[in-house]
Amino acid sequence: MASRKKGDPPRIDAGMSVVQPLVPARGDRKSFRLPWYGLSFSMPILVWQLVFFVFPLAFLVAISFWVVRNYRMVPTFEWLNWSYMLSRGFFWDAYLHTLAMAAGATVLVSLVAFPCAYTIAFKFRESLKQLMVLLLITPFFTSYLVRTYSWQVFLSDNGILNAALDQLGLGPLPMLNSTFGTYVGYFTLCLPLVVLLQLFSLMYIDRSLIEAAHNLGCGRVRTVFQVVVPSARIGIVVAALFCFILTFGDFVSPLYLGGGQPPTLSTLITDTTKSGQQWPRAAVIATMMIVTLLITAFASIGFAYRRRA
Amino acid sequence: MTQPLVVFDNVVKHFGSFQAVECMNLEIYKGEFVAIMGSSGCGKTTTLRMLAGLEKPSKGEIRLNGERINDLYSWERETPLVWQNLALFPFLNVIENVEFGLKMRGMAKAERRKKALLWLERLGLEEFAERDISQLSGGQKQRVALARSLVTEPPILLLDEPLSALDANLSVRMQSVLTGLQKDLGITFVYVTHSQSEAFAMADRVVIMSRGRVEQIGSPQEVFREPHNRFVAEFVGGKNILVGTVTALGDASLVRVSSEHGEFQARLPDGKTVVPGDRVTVCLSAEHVDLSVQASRPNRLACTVVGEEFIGSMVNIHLEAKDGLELQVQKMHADYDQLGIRSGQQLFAEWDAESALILRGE
Repeated sequence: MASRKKGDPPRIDAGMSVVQPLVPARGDRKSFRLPWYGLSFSMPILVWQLVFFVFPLAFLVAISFWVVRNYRMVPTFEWLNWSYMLSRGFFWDAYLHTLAMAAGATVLVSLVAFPCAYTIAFKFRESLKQLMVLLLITPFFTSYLVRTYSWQVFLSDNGILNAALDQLGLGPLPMLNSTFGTYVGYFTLCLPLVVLLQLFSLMYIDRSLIEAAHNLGCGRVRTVFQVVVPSARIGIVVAALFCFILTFGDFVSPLYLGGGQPPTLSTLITDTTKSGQQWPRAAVIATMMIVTLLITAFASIGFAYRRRA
Repeated sequence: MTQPLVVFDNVVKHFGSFQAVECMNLEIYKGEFVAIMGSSGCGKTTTLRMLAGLEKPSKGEIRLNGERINDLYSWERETPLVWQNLALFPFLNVIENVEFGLKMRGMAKAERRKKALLWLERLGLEEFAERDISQLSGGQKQRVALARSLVTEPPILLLDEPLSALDANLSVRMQSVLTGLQKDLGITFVYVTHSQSEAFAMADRVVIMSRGRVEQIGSPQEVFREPHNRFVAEFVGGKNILVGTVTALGDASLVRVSSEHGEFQARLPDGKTVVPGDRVTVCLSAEHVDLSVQASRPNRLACTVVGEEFIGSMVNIHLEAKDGLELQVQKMHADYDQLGIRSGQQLFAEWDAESALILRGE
């Protein structure tokens, strides 16, 4: 075939078949278009996230490289705060303590919540179920801080619970300013939410799966572990993740019900900022917390949506 | 006679004030393929679920191998059920689904895997063993559900409309898979369906239910040829119903019936007796009615052709008698073409006296 120059019109062969030019026409490029319709709805939230989440976060990380001279922060880029914080025993003590407390709360709250969510989902009739959902939402009407303060009235050495124990000739038990107190706070913070999230995943399990398990020789209790829990895995894991995130970063319960000793990371942050304006060191702690939460979140979501065991 | 495998002895089930099953009496034998059919809400699924142990009878007794099983939980009896939606476990893969029943019976892992693989091979699924349930087609899922129920080698398999979600072609192919399996294994199948064609194609015996009651039990041929009552006649389809009064008894089993549409002869079923003056319901199969332009037989009605529909190799011709009675007639295409019927044409619908059957019940 004879060579052709770019832009030649298509030639018609003897056989009447159209010979296409070797270079595609210009018009083919318009396939890339911005989805303006979708963007018009999602733009406001994207801008909001950018301004009030991404920028502050970047700023927080940036601060962790600044230094404090004469009680004033100086913008620079030094690893000083990182090497200082990460080599301190008290930081790692607080880190491990916070991790252990949050992990413990996650396991305990999930274990306490599950039978409750299970009963509501499978044993209650529809109208009662709706009432339960409503009741589980009501704790959120009151500020968490207020609820925490009201626990002090119950838990303190001369509080309501110890007065009751005294009547029985027992106590007083040191409930306030203890790990127990912190856990009471964590339960107050997380339990209703965890029950709700578990409940929603349990309610939508196909009942015929449970019947099929029974029908194949799987008894009642075994069915819970063989079928109900695997079916509700996403909901159970997401509920636990919420519990971990909320308790890991919680400042109120460890301080007002747990007495602040030993310190959790959030307590450590306030202490660090108060002592000598060490915002950069506090930023290091905060960044470490965020990284921990990100890793936990990715790992749990990955586990929840993993295709199979 | 051998002892029946399953006995329903005056079984009643009500949910609150709703009577789902009224006084069920049924015997099912070993190796039988029994289809329970009826329209939705007739109690057929409730009957099956009672047998599977998923519902408890309100009254009466269900026996399996002669033993009362009313109070046994579903996991305490060997009555696997194949669900309408199959109820496969989405969080387990194909072979784990099949293994489930064996695992529950405490079989060791290696052994149950071997056994499950054998069943997957039998149903042509071995290459899908490690697949997720969501990656299978409808027909493949169906076979996984069958394998999962059969792997424990039960004496009976219960099936709740398992083919209703499949397209027509696949459904027909699965029917032969099911009947083949049932013959090979020699076990009892109890199959619930609303589809008359599925039930008639597969079952040795069919049980027709309506509003919680058993209307008729018999082989598909018996039920089709001699429906016991008007409900069954209408349910199996292709029947014309005429109501009349007996005017005279004739020779053998033939009697004269007078109806508002005219007088004709009809046949009594075995064991039924009537006296003149009795109201009777007469059933006339659509395929037993002939059409002719000239009246030639004593049993006939003058009709007008109002419509026709083609169903495969047959043609359904709809007629209307002068008093508004609607009749349907079924003809092969060749016969239909020969008649040269057109809409609005006047002709006679005729039949032999033996073809008009007086029903036992209402």
